[in-house]
Amino acid sequence: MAAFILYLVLAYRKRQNQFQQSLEQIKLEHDRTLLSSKLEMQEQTFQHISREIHDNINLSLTLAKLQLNTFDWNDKPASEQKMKTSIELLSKSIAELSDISKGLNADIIIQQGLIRALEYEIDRIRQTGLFTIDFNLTGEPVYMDTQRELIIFRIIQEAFNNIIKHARAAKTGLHMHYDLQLLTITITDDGVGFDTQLSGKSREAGLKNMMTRTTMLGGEMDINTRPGQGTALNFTIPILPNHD
Amino acid sequence: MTHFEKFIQLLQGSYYADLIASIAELTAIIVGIRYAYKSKIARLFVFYMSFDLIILIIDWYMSVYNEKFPAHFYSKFVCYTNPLIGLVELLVYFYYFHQCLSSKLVKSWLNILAGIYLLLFILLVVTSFQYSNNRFQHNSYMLGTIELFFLLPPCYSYFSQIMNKKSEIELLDKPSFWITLGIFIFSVIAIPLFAAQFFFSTLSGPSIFSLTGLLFFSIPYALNFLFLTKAFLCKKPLTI
Repeated sequence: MAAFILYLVLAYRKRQNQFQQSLEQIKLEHDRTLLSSKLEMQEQTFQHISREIHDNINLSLTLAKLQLNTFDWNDKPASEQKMKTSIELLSKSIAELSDISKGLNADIIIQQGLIRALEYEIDRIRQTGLFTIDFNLTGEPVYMDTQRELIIFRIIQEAFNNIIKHARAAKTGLHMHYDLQLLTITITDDGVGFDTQLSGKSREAGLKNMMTRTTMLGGEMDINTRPGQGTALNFTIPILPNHD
Repeated sequence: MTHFEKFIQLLQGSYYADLIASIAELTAIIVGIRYAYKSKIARLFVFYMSFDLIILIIDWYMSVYNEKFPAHFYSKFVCYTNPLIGLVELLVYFYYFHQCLSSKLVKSWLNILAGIYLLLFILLVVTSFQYSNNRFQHNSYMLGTIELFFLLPPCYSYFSQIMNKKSEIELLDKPSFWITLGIFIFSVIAIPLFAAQFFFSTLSGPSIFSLTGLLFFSIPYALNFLFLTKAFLCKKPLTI
């Protein structure tokens, strides 16, 4: 009988150790994936900044420099025009730099919360005149942890960046619904839609980015789209983080 | 001989095994009331042990003051109360296993076995008047054997469950382990005694019978209550 009890205890301990090891392995894997995702997102953000600077700001500054290089003090009318053009180009560069800065800056979220930050962002996009945005908020908004709100902001920002780059939409919608435990976000557009299997690298990177961020928050992401039929992105995010 | 001397003689006759088992039982009752009374299962265990202890005390009283009772009354009392205690014990343990086992198949079998035992118990009580004392005693011990046999499958199912189910809790910290172990040890050791009770009682004089009773019943019975005490002290729900 004593041998039976001893066998039970030893066998149970062995299984428990195996279970603990597998748990630790899973946790390690999860931490590794999370770190890798964070680094990837950081890399993409750097690439985005680099692209914006190269494609827009660099070009404007180069043109402004060109204008100023060919400045002739003796030719007043031409010089006036060149000065005007240079000022316009420099103003455009400053505005674009300011846009990039505002887009990356998280201060507004820390100071005024997610909803206010989204309202500013939507206003900024509306000013481009590319498409209309219908912003709809239902339920009782809840202040979440600043980090969580920042990540949610980045998800929505990424979604609209994708619409700007790829969708060719005329009308878009952002609907957010708060309930006791979940925040549901739906972003729609009436653009060209896409085949999820055949989407391009840039769009794929954007979607992957959003998926990674949503997973980090413990939420779920759902894509409804078909070529020629617009796109709807649905996010379901817990308001409170799940603790292990 | 005074009644007290009679009582001591009675205890000596069983090598104080009954006394040891009753002390273990009383300890379990006190610890159960003190530490685990909020739990429904703990209350059931305390009820069954209290019932058993009361029957034992009445048993002792009737042995010591036997002149106050009619002839054969004591043996009839023992013959009816032993199966009754077995029935209560089985139902309490089956209810406990219902709460801590996850297999639906095993749970449905527990219901069937409880039904069978109840029928056998009713049959024994209803037909007892037709039998002589010895025959009735023989049948009540057979019922005890059946009870112990019925307790073995859920014990096996429990041990199988803990080996296959992943848990972060140490085995020795699980109250259910101690309870099931106590039931298992008691059943495995006591089955030979109950099954061969009639054989042992005719083989030799009372002293041999008492020694086998000590070895095969009282010690594992006391151990069962000690394990139950340990389970109450684990400070976790009894079905964990």
